[in-house]
Amino acid sequence: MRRFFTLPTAVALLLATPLQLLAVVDDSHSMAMEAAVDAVKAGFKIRQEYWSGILKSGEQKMVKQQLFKGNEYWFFLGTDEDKIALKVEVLDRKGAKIQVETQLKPNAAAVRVLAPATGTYYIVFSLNGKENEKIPWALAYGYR
Amino acid sequence: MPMNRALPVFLTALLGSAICPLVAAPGVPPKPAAAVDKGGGELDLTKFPGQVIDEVVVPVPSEIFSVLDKLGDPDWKAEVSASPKPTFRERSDVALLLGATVADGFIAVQAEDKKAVEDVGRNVLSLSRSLGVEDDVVRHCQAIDDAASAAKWDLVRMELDATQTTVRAKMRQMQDGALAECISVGGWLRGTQVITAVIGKSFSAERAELLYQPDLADYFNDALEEMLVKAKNPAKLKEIADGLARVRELMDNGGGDINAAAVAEMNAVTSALVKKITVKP
Repeated sequence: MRRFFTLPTAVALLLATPLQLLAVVDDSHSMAMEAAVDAVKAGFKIRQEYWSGILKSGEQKMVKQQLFKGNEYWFFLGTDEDKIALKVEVLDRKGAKIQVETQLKPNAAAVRVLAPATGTYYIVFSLNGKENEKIPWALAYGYR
Repeated sequence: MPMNRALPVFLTALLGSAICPLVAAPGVPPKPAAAVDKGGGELDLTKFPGQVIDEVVVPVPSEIFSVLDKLGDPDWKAEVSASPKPTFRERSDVALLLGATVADGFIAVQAEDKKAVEDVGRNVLSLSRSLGVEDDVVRHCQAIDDAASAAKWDLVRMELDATQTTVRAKMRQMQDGALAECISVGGWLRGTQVITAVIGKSFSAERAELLYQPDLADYFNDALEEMLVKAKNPAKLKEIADGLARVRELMDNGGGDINAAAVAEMNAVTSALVKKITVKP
């Protein structure tokens, strides 16, 4: 399903990713970016590159990422499918959750992270819908 | 040359609290999860009940410089590179140099050196021409020039990030992902050289922690291995890979914190590698 950007979203997108998205619109990424509007207003820079794909309902995916102590991060998971329960968590190397804030929205979930140490962390996410449903997703992040 | 990836243990606690609720979707039974504690206290990704994207996400340079902003105000002007850039024919050489040049741009931004930033813009354009991606990069170079003239340093950083992203994306589009990683390797080495120099001048454990990036070092080493097979001049890439392996060892520092001696050696190793990348033999 396709949605139109709200004005703040469009402004945030233009500030954060001025060129690439004008060519191709990924609706799941748009949902993630809509969830990122407040973070952009708060001074977070959203990385232009993002990750996307399709996951079967209930399946999990893990992305490894280098984070730096001293930086603050927001991770945004979006989908353009309705009635999907999204979950995203950030774990340290020992499996402890390190997010300090979670936001759930109709088509997106986001977590804020203050890396306790510099090193590799694991972004774990899943999307739950109908049994065997294949759900598109996009994962983006911002930092300041 | 391949690095050990020490990720031995997937903790029972994690599987009980963090992962299981994720798979407990309506109508979808939780997946069985075996936890094997091998004593290291770390996650064993082979036991993860889902798909793991093996490659670590490489940070954009401004993420690293964002941390440096918070660590005081070192003498960045002393780190700005003023040396002319050589001309290479081998594409891997050009890609490595392009990455190092983009990193030069970040250093020039830290130093708020307009002329150096403008020089970087010109050099990036020239190197992009050699890689056949000039048309994709020209708008970024113009934006870098404009932002530097107006001393809009955040904007320069954003465009430098965007330049590297655009070239890497174009390389992948041209089925040349390994070459895209060479750009990252060049940038990472030049960045590490400068950061180790800055940290070395005013050492603290907190600053040195910024250098703890072992999975990135592994990732770059893997990328170089892939390039070694294709390169016309593998000797240079082999030397870089070997140097990178040493930097990786120093990051781990026997399991302890990165100390001043390790930072000094990392600086020596990366300085030698950057010289190989930026100077024609």
